[in-house]
Amino acid sequence: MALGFWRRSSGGVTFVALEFACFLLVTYQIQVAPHLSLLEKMALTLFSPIQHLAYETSDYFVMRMENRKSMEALQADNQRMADQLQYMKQFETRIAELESENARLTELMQVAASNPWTSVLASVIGRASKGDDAILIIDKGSRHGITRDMGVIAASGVVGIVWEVSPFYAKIMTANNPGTAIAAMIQRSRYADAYLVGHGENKGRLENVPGFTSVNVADRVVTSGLDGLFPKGQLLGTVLHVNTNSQMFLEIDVQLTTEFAALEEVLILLPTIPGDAP
Amino acid sequence: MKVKWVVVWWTICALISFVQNQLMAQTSFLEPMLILIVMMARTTPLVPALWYTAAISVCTDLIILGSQVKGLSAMIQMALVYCMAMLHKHIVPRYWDLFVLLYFALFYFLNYYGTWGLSVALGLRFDVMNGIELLYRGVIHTLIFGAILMVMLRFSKDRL
Repeated sequence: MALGFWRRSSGGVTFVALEFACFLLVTYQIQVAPHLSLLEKMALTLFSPIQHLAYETSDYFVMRMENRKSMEALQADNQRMADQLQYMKQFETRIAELESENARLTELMQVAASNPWTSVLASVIGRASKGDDAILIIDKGSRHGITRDMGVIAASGVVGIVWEVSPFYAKIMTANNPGTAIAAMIQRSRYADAYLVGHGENKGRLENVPGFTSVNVADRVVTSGLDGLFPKGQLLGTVLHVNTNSQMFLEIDVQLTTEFAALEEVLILLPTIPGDAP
Repeated sequence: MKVKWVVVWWTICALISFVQNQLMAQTSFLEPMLILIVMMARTTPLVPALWYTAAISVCTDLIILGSQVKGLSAMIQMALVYCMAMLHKHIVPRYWDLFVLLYFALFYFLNYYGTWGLSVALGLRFDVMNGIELLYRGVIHTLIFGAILMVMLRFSKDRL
């Protein structure tokens, strides 16, 4: 039955099938890129997936290469910026140090200008202490006019006395050293025949003050200038405690104003008349 | 008409069309494929005739003509071949060669107007021909077809 139907209608079926095939061909050309020829369209349809794959593959590798180059460039930039940042940090630290040094030196120059004696600026390059014996080392010596037993001051007050001198360096026995003795007086009472002896830990003891002398806590203690090491009126400290139990002389503890552990620059006082230092 | 003769004639016709396209800037005066199709359909059963028509038309479009929509003329030509076969089967069993000659003249104009109508229906561009020129071309093609048909009837015993 099917064979008979095919014999009767094979021409019609073939005709419809071929017409439909041609119609598909025509509509394909209309719908897909009408400005291309059919062979171009067919080639495009066949090869576009391959072309797309090849493009994606090459694009992948190109992107990888570009990413690698970009990464290397970024790493180089990163390294350069890290170096720059490190340099800037060092520069900033240096600037801060210079600012601090500038402030200290300015303050010290004001002290030097207000002081009647000439002075030599020196930097503290070392410090040593054994028990209460405190020593500072400075970068100026006999070649700079420094001699033994010169007075040393800072912006905050008296520092100490030059103890040993070499051509380029000198040792300073600080005012809190028990071996130091500086002629001093109490600013309020004006008793000038006393001397300050170091007592360690930023403290000193005012000796040779008679019991009748009027001394109060917080009175200022300044240099009397009688020892020839310091001009008169250099700040030593303030009275911390007064012991009135002793019969002839008072025991006066003094809080020194100089922070010896924080000293960086000092002024070495030269006698007004050269060679006049004791 | 056997397959090998169809291929031979199609090759010759393709060459003619190709030369015309190259020399006359894609404006073919002669359309030998139409002659070949009708000549082939005259003596070929319906199903092979439809296949031959589709193959000849589409292949010609693909190889020779560059800008037109491929397969459009094949649809019209297959329909005309189908009509021709139906007429031969149901209406005109006798005087077939005379009918074929008349049908060819009709075939030429129907091919033109059918392609035009289908192009309009599908929204495609179609180069409209002057009516006198169309008539002139139809007469020329019919005369050529008639001459070939007479030669074939005279010398080849009705089979190519």
